[in-house]
Amino acid sequence: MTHASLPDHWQELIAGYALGDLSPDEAEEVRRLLEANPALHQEVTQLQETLALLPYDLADREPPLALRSNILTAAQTETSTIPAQTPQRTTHGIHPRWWSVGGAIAAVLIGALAIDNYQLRRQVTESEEIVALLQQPSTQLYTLQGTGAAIEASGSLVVNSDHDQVVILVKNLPELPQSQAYRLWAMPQEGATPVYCGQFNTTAEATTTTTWTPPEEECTAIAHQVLLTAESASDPPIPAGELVMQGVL
Amino acid sequence: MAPHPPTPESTDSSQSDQDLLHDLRNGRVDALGKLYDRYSKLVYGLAFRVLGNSEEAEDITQEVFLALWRRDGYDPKRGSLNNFLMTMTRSRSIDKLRSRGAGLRALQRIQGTVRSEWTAPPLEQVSIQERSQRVREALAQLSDNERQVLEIAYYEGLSQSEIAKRLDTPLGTVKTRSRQALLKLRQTLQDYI
Repeated sequence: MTHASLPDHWQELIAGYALGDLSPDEAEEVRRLLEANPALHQEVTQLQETLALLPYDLADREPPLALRSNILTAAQTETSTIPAQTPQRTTHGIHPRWWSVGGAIAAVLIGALAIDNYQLRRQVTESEEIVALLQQPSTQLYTLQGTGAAIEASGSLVVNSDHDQVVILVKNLPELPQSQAYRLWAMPQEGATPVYCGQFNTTAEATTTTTWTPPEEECTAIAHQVLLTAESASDPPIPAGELVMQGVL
Repeated sequence: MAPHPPTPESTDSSQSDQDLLHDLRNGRVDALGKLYDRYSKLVYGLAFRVLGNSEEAEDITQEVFLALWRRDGYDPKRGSLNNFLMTMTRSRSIDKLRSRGAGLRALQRIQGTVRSEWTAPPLEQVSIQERSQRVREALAQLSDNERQVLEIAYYEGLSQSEIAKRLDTPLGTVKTRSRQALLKLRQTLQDYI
Protein backbone atom coordinates (compact mmCIF):
# COMPACT_ATOMS: atom_id res chain seq x y z
CA MET A 1 0.00 0.00 0.00
CA THR A 2 1.34 3.45 -0.81
CA HIS A 3 0.44 6.38 1.35
CA ALA A 4 1.83 9.35 -0.56
CA SER A 5 -0.84 11.69 0.79
CA LEU A 6 -0.46 10.69 4.41
CA PRO A 7 1.43 12.60 7.08
CA ASP A 8 4.81 11.20 8.12
CA HIS A 9 3.59 10.02 11.47
CA TRP A 10 0.45 8.29 10.24
CA GLN A 11 1.58 4.88 11.51
CA GLU A 12 2.13 6.21 14.99
CA LEU A 13 -1.26 7.86 14.93
CA ILE A 14 -2.96 4.64 13.89
CA ALA A 15 -1.03 2.75 16.58
CA GLY A 16 -2.21 5.31 19.11
CA TYR A 17 -5.75 4.79 17.88
CA ALA A 18 -5.47 1.01 18.33
CA LEU A 19 -4.02 1.56 21.80
CA GLY A 20 -6.70 4.08 22.69
CA ASP A 21 -4.20 6.75 23.73
CA LEU A 22 -4.88 9.61 21.30
CA SER A 23 -5.15 13.19 22.48
CA PRO A 24 -8.30 15.03 21.30
CA ASP A 25 -6.32 16.72 18.51
CA GLU A 26 -4.79 13.46 17.38
CA ALA A 27 -8.20 11.77 17.49
CA GLU A 28 -9.56 14.42 15.15
CA GLU A 29 -6.58 13.95 12.83
CA VAL A 30 -7.14 10.18 12.76
CA ARG A 31 -10.84 10.65 12.10
CA ARG A 32 -10.01 12.74 9.05
CA LEU A 33 -7.30 10.30 7.91
CA LEU A 34 -9.66 7.33 8.11
CA GLU A 35 -12.37 9.21 6.31
CA ALA A 36 -10.03 10.17 3.46
CA ASN A 37 -8.28 6.78 3.35
CA PRO A 38 -10.72 3.96 4.09
CA ALA A 39 -7.92 1.44 3.43
CA LEU A 40 -6.40 2.54 6.73
CA HIS A 41 -9.16 0.69 8.56
CA GLN A 42 -7.32 -2.46 7.61
CA GLU A 43 -4.20 -1.11 9.31
CA VAL A 44 -6.21 -0.47 12.45
CA THR A 45 -7.58 -4.02 12.36
CA GLN A 46 -4.08 -5.44 11.97
CA LEU A 47 -2.83 -3.52 14.98
CA GLN A 48 -5.83 -4.65 17.03
CA GLU A 49 -5.14 -8.23 15.95
CA THR A 50 -1.54 -7.75 17.08
CA LEU A 51 -2.65 -6.58 20.52
CA ALA A 52 -4.96 -9.58 20.78
CA LEU A 53 -1.92 -11.84 20.38
CA LEU A 54 -0.30 -10.53 23.58
CA PRO A 55 -2.10 -13.09 25.77
CA TYR A 56 -0.26 -15.87 23.91
CA ASP A 57 2.63 -14.81 26.07
CA LEU A 58 0.56 -16.12 29.01
CA ALA A 59 -1.01 -19.08 27.31
CA ASP A 60 -0.19 -21.83 29.74
CA ARG A 61 -2.40 -21.13 32.73
CA GLU A 62 -4.95 -23.92 32.91
CA PRO A 63 -8.50 -22.98 33.89
CA PRO A 64 -9.99 -25.07 36.69
CA LEU A 65 -10.96 -28.49 35.42
CA ALA A 66 -14.63 -28.17 36.31
CA LEU A 67 -15.14 -24.87 34.51
CA ARG A 68 -15.69 -26.46 31.12
CA SER A 69 -18.61 -28.58 32.26
CA ASN A 70 -20.05 -25.68 34.27
CA ILE A 71 -20.10 -23.49 31.15
CA LEU A 72 -21.51 -26.17 28.87
CA THR A 73 -24.20 -27.04 31.40
CA ALA A 74 -25.13 -23.37 31.77
CA ALA A 75 -25.26 -22.98 27.98
CA GLN A 76 -27.45 -26.03 27.68
CA THR A 77 -29.89 -25.06 30.39
CA GLU A 78 -30.36 -21.47 29.32
CA THR A 79 -31.42 -22.36 25.79
CA SER A 80 -34.75 -23.98 25.25
CA THR A 81 -34.37 -24.17 21.48
CA ILE A 82 -31.47 -26.59 21.40
CA PRO A 83 -32.39 -29.76 19.52
CA ALA A 84 -32.40 -33.04 21.47
CA GLN A 85 -28.96 -33.03 22.73
CA THR A 86 -25.59 -33.87 21.51
CA PRO A 87 -24.04 -35.35 24.63
CA GLN A 88 -21.51 -33.16 26.41
CA ARG A 89 -18.00 -33.97 25.49
CA THR A 90 -15.64 -34.85 28.24
CA THR A 91 -12.57 -35.53 26.16
CA HIS A 92 -10.39 -33.30 28.27
CA GLY A 93 -11.51 -35.29 31.23
CA ILE A 94 -13.42 -33.49 33.90
CA HIS A 95 -12.84 -36.50 36.13
CA PRO A 96 -10.15 -38.37 34.24
CA ARG A 97 -7.95 -40.14 36.72
CA TRP A 98 -9.32 -39.02 40.02
CA TRP A 99 -8.81 -42.13 41.95
CA SER A 100 -5.85 -43.63 40.18
CA VAL A 101 -3.20 -41.37 41.69
CA GLY A 102 -3.32 -39.75 45.05
CA GLY A 103 -6.81 -41.06 45.57
CA ALA A 104 -6.48 -41.73 49.23
CA ILE A 105 -5.06 -38.29 49.93
CA ALA A 106 -7.73 -36.79 47.75
CA ALA A 107 -10.45 -38.56 49.70
CA VAL A 108 -9.11 -37.15 52.95
CA LEU A 109 -8.91 -33.67 51.50
CA ILE A 110 -12.40 -33.78 50.06
CA GLY A 111 -13.63 -34.89 53.47
CA ALA A 112 -11.85 -31.92 54.99
CA LEU A 113 -13.48 -29.67 52.45
CA ALA A 114 -16.98 -30.85 53.19
CA ILE A 115 -17.13 -28.53 56.16
CA ASP A 116 -20.49 -27.08 55.38
CA ASN A 117 -22.80 -26.61 52.44
CA TYR A 118 -21.95 -23.00 51.90
CA GLN A 119 -20.93 -22.34 48.30
CA LEU A 120 -21.04 -25.99 47.51
CA ARG A 121 -20.39 -25.44 43.84
CA ARG A 122 -17.26 -23.45 44.57
CA GLN A 123 -16.05 -26.14 46.91
CA VAL A 124 -16.60 -28.87 44.37
CA THR A 125 -14.60 -26.86 41.88
CA GLU A 126 -11.88 -26.29 44.42
CA SER A 127 -11.83 -29.96 45.33
CA GLU A 128 -11.38 -30.89 41.72
CA GLU A 129 -8.57 -28.39 41.31
CA ILE A 130 -6.82 -29.76 44.36
CA VAL A 131 -7.27 -33.31 43.19
CA ALA A 132 -5.85 -32.32 39.82
CA LEU A 133 -2.92 -30.68 41.57
CA LEU A 134 -2.33 -33.78 43.67
CA GLN A 135 -1.95 -35.84 40.54
CA GLN A 136 1.04 -33.78 39.46
CA PRO A 137 4.43 -35.31 40.12
CA SER A 138 5.89 -32.11 41.58
CA THR A 139 3.26 -31.72 44.32
CA GLN A 140 4.09 -31.72 48.03
CA LEU A 141 1.55 -32.11 50.80
CA TYR A 142 2.19 -30.65 54.25
CA THR A 143 0.04 -31.47 57.27
CA LEU A 144 -0.67 -28.37 59.34
CA GLN A 145 -1.28 -28.46 63.07
CA GLY A 146 -2.39 -25.59 65.30
CA THR A 147 -0.27 -24.33 68.17
CA GLY A 148 -0.80 -22.06 71.17
CA ALA A 149 -4.15 -20.34 71.13
CA ALA A 150 -4.99 -22.04 67.83
CA ILE A 151 -4.36 -25.57 69.09
CA GLU A 152 -7.72 -26.73 67.68
CA ALA A 153 -6.78 -25.70 64.13
CA SER A 154 -5.86 -28.31 61.54
CA GLY A 155 -5.37 -28.42 57.82
CA SER A 156 -3.19 -29.11 54.82
CA LEU A 157 -0.96 -27.21 52.49
CA VAL A 158 -0.51 -28.38 48.90
CA VAL A 159 2.32 -26.86 46.86
CA ASN A 160 3.18 -27.46 43.25
CA SER A 161 6.39 -26.16 41.74
CA ASP A 162 5.45 -26.81 38.09
CA HIS A 163 2.23 -24.84 38.36
CA ASP A 164 3.71 -22.37 40.83
CA GLN A 165 0.69 -22.70 43.08
CA VAL A 166 -0.08 -23.19 46.73
CA VAL A 167 -3.40 -24.30 48.16
CA ILE A 168 -4.13 -24.00 51.85
CA LEU A 169 -7.03 -25.77 53.55
CA VAL A 170 -7.65 -25.16 57.22
CA LYS A 171 -10.44 -25.50 59.73
CA ASN A 172 -10.98 -24.33 63.32
CA LEU A 173 -8.73 -21.32 62.69
CA PRO A 174 -10.63 -18.20 63.84
CA GLU A 175 -11.27 -15.39 61.39
CA LEU A 176 -8.99 -12.39 61.99
CA PRO A 177 -10.13 -8.75 62.02
CA GLN A 178 -9.82 -7.00 58.65
CA SER A 179 -6.54 -5.30 59.55
CA GLN A 180 -4.85 -8.64 60.18
CA ALA A 181 -3.97 -11.66 58.08
CA TYR A 182 -2.55 -15.13 58.41
CA ARG A 183 0.82 -15.28 56.72
CA LEU A 184 2.46 -18.38 55.32
CA TRP A 185 6.22 -18.83 55.57
CA ALA A 186 8.51 -21.51 54.18
CA MET A 187 11.74 -22.47 55.92
CA PRO A 188 13.97 -23.99 53.25
CA GLN A 189 16.34 -25.51 55.83
CA GLU A 190 16.39 -25.84 59.58
CA GLY A 191 17.27 -22.49 61.14
CA ALA A 192 16.97 -20.63 57.81
CA THR A 193 15.24 -17.27 57.54
CA PRO A 194 11.54 -17.81 56.81
CA VAL A 195 10.53 -16.90 53.26
CA TYR A 196 7.25 -14.98 52.92
CA CYS A 197 4.76 -16.93 50.79
CA GLY A 198 1.56 -14.85 50.93
CA GLN A 199 -1.32 -14.14 53.26
CA PHE A 200 -5.00 -14.94 53.67
CA ASN A 201 -7.80 -14.90 56.19
CA THR A 202 -10.34 -17.51 57.20
CA THR A 203 -14.11 -17.15 57.03
CA ALA A 204 -16.55 -16.54 59.85
CA GLU A 205 -16.83 -20.34 59.98
CA ALA A 206 -13.09 -20.46 60.81
CA THR A 207 -12.20 -22.27 57.60
CA THR A 208 -10.70 -21.47 54.23
CA THR A 209 -9.56 -23.05 51.00
CA THR A 210 -7.34 -20.53 49.28
CA THR A 211 -5.23 -20.94 46.15
CA TRP A 212 -2.61 -18.49 44.99
CA THR A 213 0.68 -18.05 43.20
CA PRO A 214 3.34 -17.36 45.84
CA PRO A 215 5.84 -14.51 45.48
CA GLU A 216 8.98 -16.63 45.85
CA GLU A 217 10.20 -19.86 44.28
CA GLU A 218 11.20 -21.23 47.67
CA CYS A 219 7.51 -21.40 48.54
CA THR A 220 6.89 -24.26 46.13
CA ALA A 221 10.22 -26.02 46.68
CA ILE A 222 10.56 -28.75 49.30
CA ALA A 223 10.74 -26.96 52.65
CA HIS A 224 12.08 -28.16 55.96
CA GLN A 225 9.04 -26.65 57.63
CA VAL A 226 6.13 -24.33 56.89
CA LEU A 227 4.75 -21.84 59.40
CA LEU A 228 1.61 -19.80 59.74
CA THR A 229 1.57 -16.61 61.79
CA ALA A 230 -1.06 -13.99 62.59
CA GLU A 231 0.20 -10.58 61.50
CA SER A 232 -0.90 -7.08 60.71
CA ALA A 233 -2.01 -7.26 57.06
CA SER A 234 -0.11 -4.13 56.05
CA ASP A 235 3.21 -4.86 57.75
CA PRO A 236 6.30 -5.60 55.67
CA PRO A 237 6.81 -9.32 55.06
CA ILE A 238 8.91 -10.05 58.15
CA PRO A 239 7.55 -12.56 60.68
CA ALA A 240 6.66 -10.68 63.86
CA GLY A 241 3.30 -12.05 64.96
CA GLU A 242 2.17 -15.07 66.89
CA LEU A 243 2.82 -18.56 65.48
CA VAL A 244 -0.56 -20.25 64.94
CA MET A 245 0.17 -23.35 62.87
CA GLN A 246 3.13 -25.31 61.62
CA GLY A 247 3.58 -28.13 59.23
CA VAL A 248 6.04 -30.65 57.89
CA LEU A 249 6.00 -32.96 54.89
CA MET B 1 -4.13 -9.57 4.62
CA ALA B 2 -5.80 -12.93 4.90
CA PRO B 3 -9.44 -12.52 5.85
CA HIS B 4 -8.87 -14.48 9.05
CA PRO B 5 -5.70 -15.28 10.86
CA PRO B 6 -4.81 -18.90 11.47
CA THR B 7 -6.58 -20.28 14.49
CA PRO B 8 -4.78 -21.80 17.46
CA GLU B 9 -6.01 -25.25 16.67
CA SER B 10 -5.73 -28.19 18.96
CA THR B 11 -6.12 -31.84 18.01
CA ASP B 12 -9.58 -30.91 16.81
CA SER B 13 -8.00 -29.01 14.00
CA SER B 14 -10.30 -30.28 11.29
CA GLN B 15 -12.84 -27.56 12.00
CA SER B 16 -12.07 -23.89 11.55
CA ASP B 17 -13.36 -21.27 13.96
CA GLN B 18 -15.90 -20.32 11.34
CA ASP B 19 -17.20 -23.91 11.06
CA LEU B 20 -17.53 -24.11 14.82
CA LEU B 21 -19.30 -20.75 15.01
CA HIS B 22 -21.72 -21.96 12.38
CA ASP B 23 -22.50 -25.03 14.50
CA LEU B 24 -22.69 -22.85 17.59
CA ARG B 25 -25.33 -20.70 15.97
CA ASN B 26 -27.34 -23.82 15.30
CA GLY B 27 -27.45 -24.48 19.03
CA ARG B 28 -24.71 -27.10 19.11
CA VAL B 29 -23.24 -27.18 22.62
CA ASP B 30 -20.45 -29.47 21.42
CA ALA B 31 -19.20 -26.63 19.19
CA LEU B 32 -19.00 -24.40 22.25
CA GLY B 33 -17.00 -27.17 23.92
CA LYS B 34 -14.55 -27.27 21.03
CA LEU B 35 -14.13 -23.49 21.03
CA TYR B 36 -13.63 -23.67 24.78
CA ASP B 37 -10.89 -26.26 24.31
CA ARG B 38 -9.26 -23.98 21.76
CA TYR B 39 -9.43 -20.65 23.59
CA SER B 40 -10.09 -21.20 27.28
CA LYS B 41 -6.47 -21.08 28.38
CA LEU B 42 -6.01 -17.75 26.61
CA VAL B 43 -9.22 -16.27 28.01
CA TYR B 44 -8.59 -17.55 31.52
CA GLY B 45 -4.89 -16.67 31.36
CA LEU B 46 -5.63 -13.11 30.31
CA ALA B 47 -8.32 -12.63 32.96
CA PHE B 48 -5.98 -14.05 35.58
CA ARG B 49 -3.16 -11.77 34.44
CA VAL B 50 -5.38 -8.70 34.79
CA LEU B 51 -7.22 -9.67 37.97
CA GLY B 52 -4.62 -11.72 39.77
CA ASN B 53 -6.95 -14.34 41.21
CA SER B 54 -8.49 -17.54 40.02
CA GLU B 55 -12.01 -16.99 41.29
CA GLU B 56 -12.62 -13.80 39.31
CA ALA B 57 -10.77 -15.17 36.29
CA GLU B 58 -13.10 -18.14 36.38
CA ASP B 59 -16.15 -15.85 36.47
CA ILE B 60 -14.88 -13.81 33.51
CA THR B 61 -14.14 -16.96 31.51
CA GLN B 62 -17.67 -18.18 32.10
CA GLU B 63 -19.14 -14.80 31.13
CA VAL B 64 -17.11 -14.63 27.92
CA PHE B 65 -17.99 -18.10 26.66
CA LEU B 66 -21.64 -17.71 27.58
CA ALA B 67 -21.68 -14.35 25.79
CA LEU B 68 -20.31 -16.11 22.72
CA TRP B 69 -23.02 -18.75 23.11
CA ARG B 70 -25.65 -16.02 23.24
CA ARG B 71 -24.22 -14.62 19.98
CA ASP B 72 -23.26 -11.35 21.59
CA GLY B 73 -21.83 -9.24 18.88
CA TYR B 74 -19.14 -11.23 17.12
CA ASP B 75 -18.91 -10.11 13.50
CA PRO B 76 -16.32 -12.05 11.46
CA LYS B 77 -15.94 -9.09 9.13
CA ARG B 78 -14.47 -7.04 11.92
CA GLY B 79 -11.67 -9.36 12.89
CA SER B 80 -10.71 -12.79 14.13
CA LEU B 81 -12.50 -14.69 16.86
CA ASN B 82 -9.27 -14.48 18.85
CA ASN B 83 -9.37 -10.70 18.66
CA PHE B 84 -13.03 -10.66 19.69
CA LEU B 85 -12.50 -12.98 22.67
CA MET B 86 -9.36 -11.24 23.90
CA THR B 87 -10.93 -7.79 23.57
CA MET B 88 -14.03 -8.87 25.50
CA THR B 89 -11.96 -10.67 28.16
CA ARG B 90 -9.63 -7.72 28.60
CA SER B 91 -12.35 -5.09 28.84
CA ARG B 92 -14.50 -7.11 31.26
CA SER B 93 -11.47 -7.92 33.40
CA ILE B 94 -10.30 -4.31 33.54
CA ASP B 95 -13.85 -3.18 34.38
CA LYS B 96 -13.89 -5.64 37.25
CA LEU B 97 -10.48 -4.51 38.39
CA ARG B 98 -11.60 -0.89 38.47
CA SER B 99 -14.81 -1.74 40.32
CA ARG B 100 -12.93 -3.24 43.23
CA GLY B 101 -12.97 -1.39 46.50
CA ALA B 102 -9.78 -0.23 48.16
CA GLY B 103 -10.12 -2.99 50.73
CA LEU B 104 -9.59 -5.59 48.10
CA ARG B 105 -6.40 -4.13 46.74
CA ALA B 106 -4.25 -5.70 49.40
CA LEU B 107 -5.67 -9.09 48.57
CA GLN B 108 -5.06 -8.47 44.89
CA ARG B 109 -1.46 -7.59 45.61
CA ILE B 110 -0.93 -10.91 47.29
CA GLN B 111 -2.79 -13.00 44.80
CA GLY B 112 -1.60 -10.97 41.85
CA THR B 113 2.06 -11.76 42.16
CA VAL B 114 2.10 -13.13 38.67
CA ARG B 115 5.69 -13.73 37.76
CA SER B 116 6.97 -16.31 35.37
CA GLU B 117 3.80 -18.31 35.45
CA TRP B 118 4.15 -20.33 32.31
CA THR B 119 4.62 -24.03 32.38
CA ALA B 120 5.06 -26.35 29.46
CA PRO B 121 1.92 -26.46 27.35
CA PRO B 122 0.28 -29.81 26.77
CA LEU B 123 1.51 -31.60 23.71
CA GLU B 124 -1.86 -31.71 22.04
CA GLN B 125 -1.90 -27.93 21.65
CA VAL B 126 1.06 -27.75 19.35
CA SER B 127 0.02 -24.77 17.36
CA ILE B 128 -0.88 -22.75 20.43
CA GLN B 129 2.60 -23.59 21.61
CA GLU B 130 4.08 -22.41 18.35
CA ARG B 131 2.13 -19.18 18.39
CA SER B 132 3.11 -18.57 21.99
CA GLN B 133 6.71 -19.12 21.05
CA ARG B 134 6.45 -16.63 18.20
CA VAL B 135 4.78 -14.03 20.37
CA ARG B 136 7.42 -14.44 23.07
CA GLU B 137 10.19 -14.10 20.50
CA ALA B 138 8.54 -10.99 19.10
CA LEU B 139 8.20 -9.48 22.56
CA ALA B 140 11.83 -10.29 23.26
CA GLN B 141 12.81 -8.07 20.34
CA LEU B 142 11.31 -5.02 22.04
CA SER B 143 13.38 -2.98 24.40
CA ASP B 144 12.57 -3.45 28.09
CA ASN B 145 11.05 0.03 28.18
CA GLU B 146 8.85 -0.57 25.17
CA ARG B 147 7.62 -3.88 26.50
CA GLN B 148 6.94 -2.42 29.92
CA VAL B 149 4.66 0.37 28.70
CA LEU B 150 2.85 -1.89 26.27
CA GLU B 151 2.16 -4.48 28.96
CA ILE B 152 1.04 -1.95 31.54
CA ALA B 153 -1.32 -0.38 29.01
CA TYR B 154 -2.70 -3.73 27.89
CA TYR B 155 -2.96 -5.70 31.11
CA GLU B 156 -3.64 -2.95 33.61
CA GLY B 157 -5.68 -0.64 31.42
CA LEU B 158 -3.84 2.45 32.66
CA SER B 159 -3.95 5.60 30.57
CA GLN B 160 -0.72 6.90 29.10
CA SER B 161 -0.62 9.72 31.64
CA GLU B 162 -1.10 7.25 34.51
CA ILE B 163 1.75 5.17 33.10
CA ALA B 164 3.92 8.27 32.74
CA LYS B 165 3.26 9.11 36.38
CA ARG B 166 3.96 5.62 37.61
CA LEU B 167 7.21 5.30 35.66
CA ASP B 168 8.18 8.91 36.27
CA THR B 169 8.71 9.30 32.53
CA PRO B 170 7.50 12.14 30.27
CA LEU B 171 4.10 11.51 28.69
CA GLY B 172 5.48 11.97 25.16
CA THR B 173 8.10 9.30 25.76
CA VAL B 174 5.51 6.85 27.07
CA LYS B 175 3.30 7.41 24.05
CA THR B 176 6.16 7.01 21.59
CA ARG B 177 7.37 3.84 23.29
CA SER B 178 4.00 2.14 23.36
CA ARG B 179 3.18 3.03 19.76
CA GLN B 180 6.61 1.99 18.49
CA ALA B 181 6.32 -1.23 20.47
CA LEU B 182 2.99 -2.06 18.86
CA LEU B 183 4.24 -1.23 15.36
CA LYS B 184 7.33 -3.40 15.84
CA LEU B 185 5.23 -6.29 17.09
CA ARG B 186 2.92 -6.00 14.12
CA GLN B 187 5.93 -6.12 11.84
CA THR B 188 7.39 -9.19 13.53
CA LEU B 189 4.09 -11.05 13.79
CA GLN B 190 2.75 -10.20 10.36
CA ASP B 191 2.34 -13.86 9.41
CA TYR B 192 -0.10 -14.26 12.27
CA ILE B 193 -2.39 -11.33 11.68
